[in-house]
Amino acid sequence: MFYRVDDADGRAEVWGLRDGRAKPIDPHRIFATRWLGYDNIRRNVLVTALDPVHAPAFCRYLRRKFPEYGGFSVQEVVAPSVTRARDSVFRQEAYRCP
Amino acid sequence: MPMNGFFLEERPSLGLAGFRVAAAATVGLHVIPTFFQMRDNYLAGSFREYNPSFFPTWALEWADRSPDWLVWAMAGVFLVSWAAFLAGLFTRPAGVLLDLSCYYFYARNSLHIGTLSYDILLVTMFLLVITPYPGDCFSLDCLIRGEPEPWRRKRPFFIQRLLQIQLASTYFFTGLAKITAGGNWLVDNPYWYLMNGPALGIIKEFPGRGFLAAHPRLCWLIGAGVIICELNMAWLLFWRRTRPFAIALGFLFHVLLLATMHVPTIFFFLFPPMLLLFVEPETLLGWVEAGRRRRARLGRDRLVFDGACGFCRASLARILALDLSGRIEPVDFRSQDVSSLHPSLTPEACHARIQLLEAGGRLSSGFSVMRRLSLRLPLAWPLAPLLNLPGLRRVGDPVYDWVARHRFNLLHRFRACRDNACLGRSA
Repeated sequence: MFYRVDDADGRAEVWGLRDGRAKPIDPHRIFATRWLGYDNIRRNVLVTALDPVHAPAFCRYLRRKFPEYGGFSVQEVVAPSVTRARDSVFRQEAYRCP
Repeated sequence: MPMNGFFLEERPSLGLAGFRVAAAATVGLHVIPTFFQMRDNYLAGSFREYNPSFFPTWALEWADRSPDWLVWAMAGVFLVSWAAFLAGLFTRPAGVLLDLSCYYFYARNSLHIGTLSYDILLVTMFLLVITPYPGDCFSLDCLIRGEPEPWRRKRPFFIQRLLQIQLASTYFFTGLAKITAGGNWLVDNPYWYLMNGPALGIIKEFPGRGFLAAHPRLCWLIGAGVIICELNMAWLLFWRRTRPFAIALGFLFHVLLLATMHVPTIFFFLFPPMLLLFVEPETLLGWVEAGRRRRARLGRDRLVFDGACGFCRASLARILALDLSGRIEPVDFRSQDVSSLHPSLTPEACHARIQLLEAGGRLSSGFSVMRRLSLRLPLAWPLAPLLNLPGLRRVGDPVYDWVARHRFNLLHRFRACRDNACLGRSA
């Protein structure tokens, strides 16, 4: 467990789109299951959604969970080095849910 | 030690039975929270992930095609079998059903419950359901059997030995994987990276995290220490002289993991009890016996019962099966003069109701005895909240009295009374 941990860190973010504006959605609202003593969101469970293979299913899921948004942007956020520049991140859209 | 002795020697199974309770609690704590979001996690429209390296494709396809009614039915199977396995009721079939439903939900959606530690838990559960040994003690099964002192029961040791080997192997290969193949713990500084991870990362905000994040050499030493411990845990656990140290070290390791990282509940509720499987069962039995001797010296509660009533004798056997600490001394009012123990213990009172005279002098009778026993016998504590509900005496007393009045006729159907020997003594 934790066999390999690198200096780089990769996460996923979901942004809700409405009226031409984007708003970040709290990942704890996306996956609301709560455990005793730990948090699966902090175990980076959301990163699974980045895989384009999952895009149709995840978009369906988001539309059902958050009907208030007209669309969603699923983004990959990469910090190349958590030790040297923790706040320096690169962001790119993995896919968009219409 | 010859291999037969290592695996097949008959030894007390009470440690394994206690571990069953821990394993059941762990399974529940890991899976049940996902049921609170059935629509998000398992029903149609949920977002699901599959684990093809664990399941064959046909199993994943079958689970994926499950209609919602089947998912709900499997959740029901899980909850019922989990409660039964935890309580030790029909332990083996309940365990098999629980195991199958664990696999079902894992195949249905591995996103939340699927972790390496869950895979380990499933292996543990398999070992716990292939024999009836885990239901020998601390179980409703042993109460149904009415077996005296079930904690003394001996069984071939191989299940407990295999669980010991599983834990030792887990530590060893966890350490090995960190320094071979894809692991980078020798050539890099993963622990330092973890300490510097993002705010919404796997490391908790514990005191000292900032200090560690600023001291890479210290982090590397901690990482090296972790690997050395993991690689050496196997022989430290199996060698009798180092075993207590290894168990304490393992406990410390898991407490620190839970305090500093977001690791699944399994790390705390399964692995530390698994470490206790290295305590020799004879030692555990010795602790039980020492406790019973100490209780006898301090004074025991006298439970005055009707020795002429088969139903009462069978009930007493079940109460004694719960009396791990030896708190109860049964007294048959038919064969012993009990009036000298307490002035209220008249033959009429004893004939009408069971009586409990506690070591401190408190006397209770009938339904109140059940309530007191549920508080005084630790193995009966799960019943205590129910039996001691305020106002329950209004129902409990008449029900108890009805049972007591009919113990010689209606309850004569009870199998313990089958010889009818008590009929002639019912007056």
